[in-house]
Amino acid sequence: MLTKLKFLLCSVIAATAFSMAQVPVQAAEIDPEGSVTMAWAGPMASLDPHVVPGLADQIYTFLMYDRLLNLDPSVTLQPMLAKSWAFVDDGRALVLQLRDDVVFQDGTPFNAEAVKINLERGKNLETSTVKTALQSIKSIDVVSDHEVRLNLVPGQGGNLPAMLASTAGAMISPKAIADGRDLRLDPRDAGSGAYMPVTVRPNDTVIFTRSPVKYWDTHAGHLKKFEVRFVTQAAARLNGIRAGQFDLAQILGSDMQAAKKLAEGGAFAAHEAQTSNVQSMLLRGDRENLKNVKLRQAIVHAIDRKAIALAVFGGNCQVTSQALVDTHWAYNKELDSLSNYDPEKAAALVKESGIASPTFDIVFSPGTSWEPQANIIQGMLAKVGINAKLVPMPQQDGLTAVRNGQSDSFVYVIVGTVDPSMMVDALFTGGYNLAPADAKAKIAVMADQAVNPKQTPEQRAAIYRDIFKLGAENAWYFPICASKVVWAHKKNISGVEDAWWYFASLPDFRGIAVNK
Amino acid sequence: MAVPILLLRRLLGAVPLLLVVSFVVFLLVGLTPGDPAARIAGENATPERIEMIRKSLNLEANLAVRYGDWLFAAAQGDFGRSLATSEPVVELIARRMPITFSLTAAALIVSVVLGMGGGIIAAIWRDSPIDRIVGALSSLGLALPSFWVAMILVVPLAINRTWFPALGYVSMADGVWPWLRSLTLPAIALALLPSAEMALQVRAALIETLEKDYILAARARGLSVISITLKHALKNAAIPVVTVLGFRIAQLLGGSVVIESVFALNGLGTLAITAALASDMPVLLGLTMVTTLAVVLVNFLVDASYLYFNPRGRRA
Repeated sequence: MLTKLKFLLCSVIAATAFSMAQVPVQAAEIDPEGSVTMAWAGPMASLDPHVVPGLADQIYTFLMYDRLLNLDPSVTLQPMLAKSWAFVDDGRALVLQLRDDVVFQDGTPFNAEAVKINLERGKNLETSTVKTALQSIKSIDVVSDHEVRLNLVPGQGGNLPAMLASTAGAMISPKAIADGRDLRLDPRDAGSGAYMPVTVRPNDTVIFTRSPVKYWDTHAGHLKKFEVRFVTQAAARLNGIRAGQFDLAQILGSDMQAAKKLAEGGAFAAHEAQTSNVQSMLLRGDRENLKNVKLRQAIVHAIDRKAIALAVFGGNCQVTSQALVDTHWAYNKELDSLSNYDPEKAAALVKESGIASPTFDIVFSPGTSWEPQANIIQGMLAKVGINAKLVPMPQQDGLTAVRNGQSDSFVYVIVGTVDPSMMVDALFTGGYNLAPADAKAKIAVMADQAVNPKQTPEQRAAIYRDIFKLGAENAWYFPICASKVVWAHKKNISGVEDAWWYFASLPDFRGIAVNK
Repeated sequence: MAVPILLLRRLLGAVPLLLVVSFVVFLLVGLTPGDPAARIAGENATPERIEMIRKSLNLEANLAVRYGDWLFAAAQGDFGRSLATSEPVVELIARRMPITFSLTAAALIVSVVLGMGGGIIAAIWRDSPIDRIVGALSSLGLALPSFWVAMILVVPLAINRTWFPALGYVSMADGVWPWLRSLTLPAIALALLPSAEMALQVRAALIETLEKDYILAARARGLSVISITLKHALKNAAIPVVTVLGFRIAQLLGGSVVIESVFALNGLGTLAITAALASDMPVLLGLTMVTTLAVVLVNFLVDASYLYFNPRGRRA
């Protein structure tokens, strides 16, 4: 009875949320012949949502594949192809109620069987990049045409709904899967989304047209043509929109200031979006040089994050104490005081550490914004008597060095994730392995509790707040500031401000339109 | 030795060069620290995925074995597939080649027109104000970085006035005029340095030639300086100029990397950057082969031109 009530409640909340979530562009104002050319800094390597080596691919796949669930700007779950979802049988399964008005672009109806085929593909495909996201699914039962039951590995799956909002939950036509064609480069009408790719040039251009079948979401798919171009230089993207060659362009770094000024002057419109991609310093607490917690705390208090945000990003980076947007359900307000800039306290902590001449290395990727950050940090640490050696390394090699425990620290960006479980895994229990073995074991227990479907959302939030507090108290992970991005667009383009997924810097633009 | 045999020998000499270049690139990429499989797998890849990539690339085999495998396939025209996008390397390069070659050719034409014109004018009116203006402009051309010139050109000519596109490439199939418009600004920016160098080279070579006895004799017979220069002196001054031109074509190919980025032209230059960042070895090797072949071909044409400009070379 309780389970049924829970399911009903969830469905009602989901339906209400859905009707509120989409901010529709006024239908009368939309030009049905409208087309948009967008300049984006991310390359496209694959249009197969289950084989996406880079995050940047998602901006392309979002346009052509709908997911089972979605995430709103506060990173809260919302329905998409699944109308509602609920954990049943004491957390042993997740049941999804599916929409009954969805058709894949090749005409195949969307149903529970399609969900089963897709999730099994994501789990079992040898080259799948979403295996980890779906690992909590033990088996899949088709309950009815539009109801599917995901049987879970005991104690796991609390984070599965969030995973189903990512590419792991993207729905490909079962017919296209059965065809066995290479969906990375030749997806054609395999999608379930608002747009279909007609020209695919990897790392160059993808041209989409409106879905050939009636699209279920009347608030999306307004464009006749949507061209996404990979343009590496921010200055070129800005020039493109100034010259009228682009309708929408992602502007980053030092060009953001110029873009905002031009927008103020009326040249075009600009939307400044806050992401939860956090410029960070990762400190390996198990390395000899950083074993001392007082020293790590001294490092944290010696760094003036505001100064870095201003000097390196021209102020276009929000100082933060955690890699979550401040509206996130697991955001912990307590953390701000644990990492405040206080050089006197830092100097005192160095003394308390008992280390005569503290020294450690900072790995960074040269030629990127991490280089000036590392330089500034080195100077700030020298003022409190800490000697930081700078070690330039290519990005991926730096990541590997820190992950394998071959370097003390790394200046890098922690990308916004769909669920805090991914961040905990990346920072503490896997990935970067920042916590020493004993603490790692403790965090692993907490993390396991947090993904248990028996936990209520409030309980999950409380556990993650505790984990992040532990990370901040022990100064393993030091967030500096969360990047902002400007999306410059022509004034007749609407819906840019209302797009979702800015938190991950991967806006879902399927709802934008050209106004008459 | 007959001219065709001489040229054939030059062409055959390119084969060991291609082998050496490909091996050096293979070696350098192989010696780069870090795990190429991890780099290709991306940031959030599982250890299993990294291991799978390592196996698929045969990274456990030693460098010589891997190079041998690549060479064997390449000799049959199979340059493999891009590790990042899975596209066949040959197709990838073939799609991008027209952009870079169009840009290089356009820049070369601009260089020859500006460089030859400036050099001839400066030599004919040696030590005049015109000569000094050409000298000053050449110095500027040598000093200004091409990417900076590119950005300066864009604002007045593509943004304030939409005479040219600010970025992007239009294929010739979409019209000759749009194609030319899309190449104009990048070609000017790319041609600045070679134009300046060529103007100075042409000037110096022409001045030396114009002081030769046979030129003085022609002038004594009443022929005009312009006529003598264009009909007689220019051909004799051509050898050092052609040599510089040969070097410059190779540098234009290299310079296109920067200019392609500024103008968002998705040619071989941007492909090289993306491939290098992704450690996409098959693409890097394919690109190296194409650019080496282009340079070999240019050197061959330069050699052939020597035989035209200096008939004594045919008997050597």
